Amino acid sequence: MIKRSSDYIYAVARVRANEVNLLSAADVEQLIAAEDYKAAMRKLADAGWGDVEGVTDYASYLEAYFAKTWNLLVEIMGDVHEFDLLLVKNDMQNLKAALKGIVSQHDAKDLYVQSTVYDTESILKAVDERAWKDLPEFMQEPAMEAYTVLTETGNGQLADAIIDKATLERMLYLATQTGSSTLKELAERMCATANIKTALRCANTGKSKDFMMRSLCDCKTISKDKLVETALEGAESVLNYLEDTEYKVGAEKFRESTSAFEKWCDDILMECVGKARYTAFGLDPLVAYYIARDAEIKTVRIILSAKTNNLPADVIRERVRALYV
Amino acid sequence: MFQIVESFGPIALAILGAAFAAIFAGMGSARGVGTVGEAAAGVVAEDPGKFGKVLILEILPGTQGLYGLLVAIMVMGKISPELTLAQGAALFFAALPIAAVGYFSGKYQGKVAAAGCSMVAKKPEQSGKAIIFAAMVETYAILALLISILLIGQV
Repeated sequence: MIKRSSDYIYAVARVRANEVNLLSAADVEQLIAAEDYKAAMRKLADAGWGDVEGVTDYASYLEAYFAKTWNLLVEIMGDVHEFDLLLVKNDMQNLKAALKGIVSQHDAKDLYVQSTVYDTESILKAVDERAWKDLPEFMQEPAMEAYTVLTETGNGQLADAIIDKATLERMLYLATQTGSSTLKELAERMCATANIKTALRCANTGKSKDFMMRSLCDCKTISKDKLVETALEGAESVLNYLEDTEYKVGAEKFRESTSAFEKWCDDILMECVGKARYTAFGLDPLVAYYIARDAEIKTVRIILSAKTNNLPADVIRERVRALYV
Repeated sequence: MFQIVESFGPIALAILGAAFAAIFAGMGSARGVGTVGEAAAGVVAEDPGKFGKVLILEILPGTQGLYGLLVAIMVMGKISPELTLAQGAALFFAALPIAAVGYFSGKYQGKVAAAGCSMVAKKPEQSGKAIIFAAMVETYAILALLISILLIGQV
């Protein structure tokens, strides 16, 4: 059942109170300007990230930090099924890992991700027993198809592409089930950018038409057929096609550099949820907070990774994502 | 229509007016205060130090209920055995402005004040502006109260 915006008053107020703890552009600039990894961690501690100065394994720390955001949303919303479209990718990631695990006969435990919509153990059990009907309905067909591809051809890329396509289609479907226009737009943008990335990658690696048709999903703002058609001609054709669409900037960014393009793919999502800053009630501010924390953590990961590898500030600046606040 | 009004009798009509004023204005306030209360609880859960600021916002939609009570008491003060049907009907209609406007202004003031709570959560130094936004809605409740009082005074 779609909730009314008045059902989120308490949750929105708590999220607004937490938004003051999000990193600002000035905080990010200070992190970039930090001398080294240790100095960056000190700045993070000053910005309210707690006692982080002794943290060496920043990847695990950031994962745990993001888990706090998720726990907060679960606590204040109770029923978090509106976020299913943002989490379903984790279920599909686990499905991929489980399929590859049984085919290669390796335990893929390390690859499983948390924060899922469905019980991971049930999915793993269903895959292990090849009991496809025990999987959630939307997973059954792609799981079978990917399994067949893996066992018959050993083509891991195609199997991944099949699952990724099913993920995007599920996200689009779940978006239509929410009352949030922001979530609908977000799902559309996620699918469009995923399609663009896949088309460009396929163009560069010379993938077949069949591979592309099985990898790209149907979305409203960009034509799947046109992407496949241009990708067969090469990356430049894809970029020329993008110039005639609303994703024109993406073409410019790709020509600039791959990292600029990746940054644009994330920034376009932030742009999409940015409107929620001025929305008083409803689901949108909560979705925006989730995306904002995700982008913030991505930014911190990029900076810390760069600091570990002694990359210059200018290079880091090019890569950091747009922020919500 | 007239027969329906007549069947009530003047005193019953006046009492109905008083009841409407108290019920609807009170309902508006209850909704408004409830809405702000939810938002205020959210803010205080994260930062108990903002209790004072959000409390002012929570109080604002409560005034409509008081206006309704005031009008109801004034109407009741006019009730006497000599009350004519026309006077009873006049008292009933005199109570309607605060009943209707009290309900809607209480409800919407609650929404504005709840949004103000979010504003206070992010920028506590802007709490004065949040109060002004919510107080703007109060204007219409005050106008309705004024009209109800003036109309009762004419009876």
